[in-house]
This record gives sequence, C-alpha cells and structure tokens, in this order.
Amino acid sequence: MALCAASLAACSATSAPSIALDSVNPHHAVVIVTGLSRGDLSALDRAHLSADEWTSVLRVTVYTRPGASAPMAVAGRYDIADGRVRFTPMLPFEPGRSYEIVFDPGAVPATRLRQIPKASRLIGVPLDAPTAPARVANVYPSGLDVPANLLRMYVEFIGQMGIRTGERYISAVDDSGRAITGALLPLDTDLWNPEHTRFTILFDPGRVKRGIFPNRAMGRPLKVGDAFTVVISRDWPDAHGRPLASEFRKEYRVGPAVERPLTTDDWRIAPPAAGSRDPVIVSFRAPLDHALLQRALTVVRGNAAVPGDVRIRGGETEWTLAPRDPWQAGAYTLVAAPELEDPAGNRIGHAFETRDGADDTRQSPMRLPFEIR
Amino acid sequence: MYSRMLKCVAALGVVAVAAGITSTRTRVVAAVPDEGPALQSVGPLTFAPDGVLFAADTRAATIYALDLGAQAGGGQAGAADVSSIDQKIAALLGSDAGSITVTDLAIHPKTHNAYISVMRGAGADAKPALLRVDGAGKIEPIAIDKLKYTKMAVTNAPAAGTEGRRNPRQDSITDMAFVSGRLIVAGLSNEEFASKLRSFAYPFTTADPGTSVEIFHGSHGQLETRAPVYTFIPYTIDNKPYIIASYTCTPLVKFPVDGLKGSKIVGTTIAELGAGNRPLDMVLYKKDGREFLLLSNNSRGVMKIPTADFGTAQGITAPVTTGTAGIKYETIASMKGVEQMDLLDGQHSIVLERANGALNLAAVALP
Repeated sequence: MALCAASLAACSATSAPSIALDSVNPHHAVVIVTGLSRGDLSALDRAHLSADEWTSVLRVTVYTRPGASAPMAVAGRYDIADGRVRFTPMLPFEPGRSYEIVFDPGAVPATRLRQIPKASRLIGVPLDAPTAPARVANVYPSGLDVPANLLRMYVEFIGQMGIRTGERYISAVDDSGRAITGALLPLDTDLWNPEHTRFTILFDPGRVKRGIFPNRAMGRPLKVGDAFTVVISRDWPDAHGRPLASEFRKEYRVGPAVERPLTTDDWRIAPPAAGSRDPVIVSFRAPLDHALLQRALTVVRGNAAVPGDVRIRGGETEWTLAPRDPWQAGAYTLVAAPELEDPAGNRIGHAFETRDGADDTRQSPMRLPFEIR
Repeated sequence: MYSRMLKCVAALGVVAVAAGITSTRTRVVAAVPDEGPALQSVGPLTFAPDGVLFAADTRAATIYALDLGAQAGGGQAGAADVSSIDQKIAALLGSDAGSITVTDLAIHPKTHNAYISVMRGAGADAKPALLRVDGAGKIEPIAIDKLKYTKMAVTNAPAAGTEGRRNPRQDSITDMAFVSGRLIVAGLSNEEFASKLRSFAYPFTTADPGTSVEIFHGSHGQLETRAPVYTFIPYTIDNKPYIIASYTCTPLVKFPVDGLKGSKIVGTTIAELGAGNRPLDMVLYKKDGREFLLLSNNSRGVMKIPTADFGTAQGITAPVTTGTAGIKYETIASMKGVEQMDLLDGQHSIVLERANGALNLAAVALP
C-alpha cells in the first residue's frame, strides 16, 4: 500500500514506462524508469536478471550522432525500489554529454517481460555554470635572460588547470620561429603543484649536463647569444576541460652557462626596524628558482620560525618576508635549506655541473644571522 | 515485496561479496569498514605476488594497497586481445576515447588478467577508474569503492630547517615495484631535480614514513647526475636483490636493494641507451635458455637487452661520444607504438599499443 502511495502507476494494471534523469544528487544523477505496473515490476523482480541481462533491459550508452552505436553500455548498478527501476552509473554522467537510454524488457527471453512496453529517450546532461577559462599568468624565470644550462621553468596559471601534462602544449621556438626539438624532457608525468596552478618544465638534463651522452652527441639545446620563445598552446585544457583564454608566449635571451655552486656570500639582508612589520628583504646577485624560493628560506628567532607573508620579486632576485607580528629587537637567522637551487640546478656549495662524484647534496641548512634594531 | 532491493551490478559482478573479504596480510588503516578507498587519481600499478594491487594516487601523493577480493575472480584466466580498447573503456565510463587517459597496465600474478588504470576527464573533477580484462576479452570495471585497502602517504617531510612552516613538497610517482617485502616507489619532484626512491615496508604501518634514497650513478667521466629514476625492475644477482633502473636521460643503472637502507647509493651504469628518449616500462623474461630485459621507450621503440652480463658489467665511466655504450641491445622493429607493457606469461608480453589513432590491448610473443 505504501508503494501505491509513492507511485500510482505501480498500482495500475498496464505499464506506460517513462524514462527520466533524477538529479536529486546533482553530482551523481541516476536514470529512473517510472510508470511500470505492479505486475510488471514484480515480473522484473522475479526474473532475477544477471548483470548482462540488466544491461539489455535498460541500456544506457553514450550518444554521439544519429545511427552510431556505442561499443559498450555505460557501466553501473541496477535496482528496483519505490516502484521504479533505477540505474546508477559507476562514474557520474559527464556534464555536456548526451546519453541514449533504451528500456526494452523484451530483450530478455522471459514471457512475462516481453509484455512490458518499450521506451527510449535521449537525455542531455547540462553543463556546469560557466566561469572564465584559465590563463597563463607568467612563465618563470620571469626575467629576460636565462643561462645556457637552464634546467627548469615553471608555468603559472590564473585559474585551476586540469590533469593533462604540458608535453603536448609547451614548445620552444628559436628566433626564426622554428621549434627547438629535443630541448625539453618528454615527460607525461604529473608535474603539477597540488593546486594545479603551476606546471614544471624540465629541460633534458642529459643535454644540459656536460659529458653526459646526449650532451656529447647533440650539445646543449640553448646556445649563448640565441633568443628563443616559450609557447604555451591555447589548447591546454583547464580544470573544466576548456582551452586557455589565449596562447601565451614569452621571449628569452640565452646568456653564459652558470656552472658555479650557489654562494650566500653575495646575498644581502636588509633588516627592517624593530617594532615595525616591514618586510626583511634578502637580495641575490642572480635569479634563484621561483618555486624553491617559496619554501627553502625561513627566518627564525631562536628555534621558532617567524610566520608571515613571503613575496618573490625582482625577477627572482629578491625574497621578502613581512612578519605577522612586529619585529622584536634582537638576533634573527635566515635559514636556507640545502635544496635551494638556481634555474640551472646549482645548489649552495654544489654545482649541478660537477666532477666530484662523491659530492653530497644532503648538507645542513645554511644559517645567516642578522640583527633587528 | 517491491521494497526489496534487487542488488544487481551490471558488469561489476560480485562487488557485494567483495566488501566482506579481507586479506590476512592487509591491515586496514581506514576506520570506516563500509567505505572503500576514495582515490583522487590513479596512476602506476603493481602487484604483490599474493595479488594485492598497489595503485598510486599521484594527486593525493598516496599509495593504496588494494585487496581485490572477489573482484579478482570470476573471469577467464589470461588476457585476450581487445582492439580499440580505449573506445570501449570510454563507453563503459560514459565518455569518449579522447576524454580518457590510460595511466598503467599490470598483470595479476595469479589470474593473469590485465588491470588497466584510467583517468576519465581532464579537469579538476576527473575521475579514476580501474578495469579488468580477462582471457575472454571481457572488460569489467572494478568497483574501487568496495575494496578493502590500506594506504600510505608519500609526501615528503617539510624542508630541513624550516621547522615545518612550509608546505611539504609533493612528488609525482613514476613507477613502483614490490621487492623483498618492501614497496619501492620512484618519484619525480615538481621542484627539485633529484633522484629519489622511497622504500616502504609492507604491510604498511603508520609509523613507517618510508626511506628516501638519493641515487647517483658514477659514470660520465666522474660526473654524477641527479636525474630521476623513471622506471625500474627488481633483479637478482648472485642471490642478492638488485634494481635495474632507467633514468630520464636513458642510462641503465643497477644498484643493490640492500643499499636502500641508507640515504644515498651510487649505482653502476651498465648501458647508455640513447638521447631524446624516455623509458616507459620494463619486463624480464627467458627465451631459449637466455634471459632478456625488454624495455619500451617513448621515442626509441622497444629494446631487447640480454641480461647475462648485468652481474659482471663494469660501470661506464668514460664519456660516451657516439652512439650507445655498455651492454648492447636490439631494437624490436615489430613492436611499435607501445605505450604500456607488462609480462603476460612465459611466452608473451602484453602491451597497450597505439595504431591508427586507436589503442589496442594485444599479447605479443616475446622476441
């Protein structure tokens, strides 16, 4: 009786099946077939259909064009409840896609089921509310000049990107517009930051590093004095699967390779005044790695890190920390983690280009004291 | 009577049973037994000998050990060829072939069914999926959310000296293998350029953050490189476990697994396989009494490398100027477009190969 109250059709003698999309859960809509008589629902229930038989009875397929048939039905779970047949797809239906749904109990050779009328329907799943497509904010190094042994770049986006890597969407062209082939490492690896707003470009280390076979055979991809342009294709899908707002191009000039270890000897620390919340400014003679700068430097007082707002400026030649709380007079220390690198992979006391095979990159952090007055 | 739910799962077979099965080896970390793993993504796969499937959720920097339970059964043994499998998988997942990305292929050690990891969609809401192909060529989605599991985060500790203030670095996972009771994981950092392997005891315990190892190969005229290991395979020399690893700039390097207990290993470069190339997958096999390593690459095809000299090969230390060096290999011209590869049985590899725009699952006689 309760069932009849929920579904009048289930109490009628004849079925008039109707197919609909139930989007009560908007993130996981389900297909429902209503309008079946109590007797027909009972017959379906008693048929104890196998998984394959259910797929024949209620077949949900991706719709592409008239007359085209999908190679397989959409996988999902079937059940009968509350006087209706329900199909829950294993993965949620894709927004913007259409699905063809055919309800045909007669597809299963059971006498009672053949009497149930057929129904079919094409259902379109609405697209999500539109937002602005992602766009490239910048490519790092942000300056014009890069060393001939450039190892790593970053593409930073405004808006969240999807899961596709940059392998197909990033290219480097020379000043005559020809693609520089074999320069970038052909990786399909997920080199996104956790937020999917920054992607890492790696130059082929085998070509960058002297003495390694690819370098011997082909030389470095970037030659001193050359100019080149990094091109980010508009086709790179963002988090909503849409192309970028526009193509992005950034020009560079290639300078001499930097094959020295980083040294903190030429860093300059400009301490602010005690009692202020002005930033401490650390200046470097040459650009450092954009991403590593954001986590490899810390200011500590005693053993406690000073919380605050970190900014990278001046084409990655300045690091600033504006403290959350005013500076106190006294001794502070700038701590540089050993993994800090420049864009050519050089670390403090450890050049990327080295002939010292016993070199150990697991050094202690560098500690640079300064005084706030 | 209609209030009785008819539990019937199209193409999913026996998931309701699976939820009640727990491996004796698997320690379940999740406190909610009715909820399976909530993977954000699925990338590299590898099996333990007992059939536990390790699946890397690269987006969450987490490795899941999945107990396939009853979902491992029910199919015909082996894995039959399936043409245009990308179109079929896409249809099963309610999508089209252009919107899915196959991320790995692994063969179950007992049933020899093929397991394929897939991402559907390219956006933030991209969904992971795992599918099984049996010996009849039937493709069945695995109901991941019904599986028992344990998991282990592979996120690095915060940078030294930063007192935990910064966000920890996150690595991508490029390959995994189960060696002597430990899961070895190769990662690629999106910030640093360093060779990192992690080694986790299995069964996972929350107390074990894994051992992080830096591997250098002493070659190239005393030059070391921090290039990351991209793919690797367990190998035994004189009854001792080794790893044969291929790097992003394609040297082939061996190093002892025992060395993973330390923080740094110097490996031995036994072959240079050429420039402009990325290694993809490796399998080991025997044919006519000899053992070979089959290595697929993204631009240099599939290489057949005899392993007889792996144990005794001297490291390449002189700079290599032309061609390749070290142990010789043969390029298998008949294997083209190989994107994923594993060993199907003693006579066949199984590959996902792209031909005329379609992705085909095919068993290929070992060369």
